[in-house]
Amino acid sequence: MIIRQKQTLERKRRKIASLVAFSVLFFTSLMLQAAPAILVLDTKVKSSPDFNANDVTTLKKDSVVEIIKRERGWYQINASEKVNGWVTLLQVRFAPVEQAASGSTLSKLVNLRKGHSSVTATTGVRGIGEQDLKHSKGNFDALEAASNYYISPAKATNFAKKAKLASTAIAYKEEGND
Amino acid sequence: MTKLKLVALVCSIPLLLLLGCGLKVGNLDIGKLAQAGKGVVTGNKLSQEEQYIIGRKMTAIVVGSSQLHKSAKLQRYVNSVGQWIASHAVPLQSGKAPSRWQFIVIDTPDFNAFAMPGGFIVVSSGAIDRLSSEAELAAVLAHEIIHVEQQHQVKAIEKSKTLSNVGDLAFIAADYHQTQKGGYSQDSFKNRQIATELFNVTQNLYTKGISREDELDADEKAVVLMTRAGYDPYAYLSVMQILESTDDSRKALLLATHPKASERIHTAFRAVSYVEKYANKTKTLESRFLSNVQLR
Repeated sequence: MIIRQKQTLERKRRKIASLVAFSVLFFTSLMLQAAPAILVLDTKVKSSPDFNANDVTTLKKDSVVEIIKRERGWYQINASEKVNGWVTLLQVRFAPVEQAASGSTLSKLVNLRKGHSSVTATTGVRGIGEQDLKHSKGNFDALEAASNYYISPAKATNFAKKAKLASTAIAYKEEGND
Repeated sequence: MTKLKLVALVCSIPLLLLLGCGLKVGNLDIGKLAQAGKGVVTGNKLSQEEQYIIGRKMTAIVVGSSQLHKSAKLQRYVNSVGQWIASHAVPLQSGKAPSRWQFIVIDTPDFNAFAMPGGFIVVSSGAIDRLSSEAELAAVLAHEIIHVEQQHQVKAIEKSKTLSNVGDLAFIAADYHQTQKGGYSQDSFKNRQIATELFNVTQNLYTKGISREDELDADEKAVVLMTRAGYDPYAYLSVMQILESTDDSRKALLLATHPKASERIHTAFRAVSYVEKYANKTKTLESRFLSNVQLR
């Protein structure tokens, strides 16, 4: 009985510790515009985005890390023990982004994190639901207005060239062609 | 001959007789109606023109459930990215492609995107808010472009039990022609009834979703499509991760209409492995994305 109580207490302590670690990282990353994430399994951290690169360390499953950037299938991460390195994309899960009430400190912080983009004017407003679709009158004027923003294929090609986007012919994968 | 085939044949006789006759009943051009109905009666897919007409109405309903985003810069940017990717989908010469692709950003905080028949694609500003590169935007748009290319919604409409009979779609098409000619018969009971049915089909389609298989098909093909257009396919996986971490209340409609993110990541990952050898030539384009979505 006592052992069980101790185990429960230990579990609680761990939970609180990881919660604290998470909060610290979360708010630090808000400032740094990095995204907090959690490792989904025990993970070898590599010194560069390459399977053949040296191991920096091994982090346990559920370790909280912050993602600095992505390069192909790799994320560069910072971990709590001042560990910096690379892990593969599917080894992490992004920390959930809670819906914050408009105007709250958290919402301001979340917006700060997004920083780069805040195109939604109606933040805090409930999004489209089943009822909105049900009661929509159909807005043909908006459709007409939207058609003013049409971009022709020729213009789009020009737009792609500016960023040196190159086309490649690739067939869709055949069924069962793994 | 089965009973069903016999019924179809009998029903198609008057339609075939009326084909191209330009016959008008009141304000309604029955000739056009019959022509539009031909594909349906013979079990063919709806023509591109019919898809455009129906898709346009559905888009008006979806956009009408929210509002058009006011930034012209953002709208043009999304149209540029979308049009470029769409030019790598089914070619116009095939007769299977929409004649025009229209991308629309709506101003709503939740994460969603919609594809309508005929080349209409709607994306929410709430989704754009959570992305951080043009390649990620490309991933979202490519998924919707595949729905149009593969006619996933069209198939779902054709299977729909909500429309009392598929010939009603032809009736909508005919109604559109009347609208174009200025002879719209507002008072026609049949028109109003069908309009209601189309609303029901649209609501059903975008709140219940299409089949799980078609959604996963869109994930798999979208990875290939965005890579064809020169975008980093790994961005598709990061979008799945972003989606997974988005609060449920911000993706309620999307959750109701799509397979679980974990299942989708698995499918997308296999697709990324397939195109991996082309990935080194692709681009992510963070800064161009940021300069086009930084509005305030």
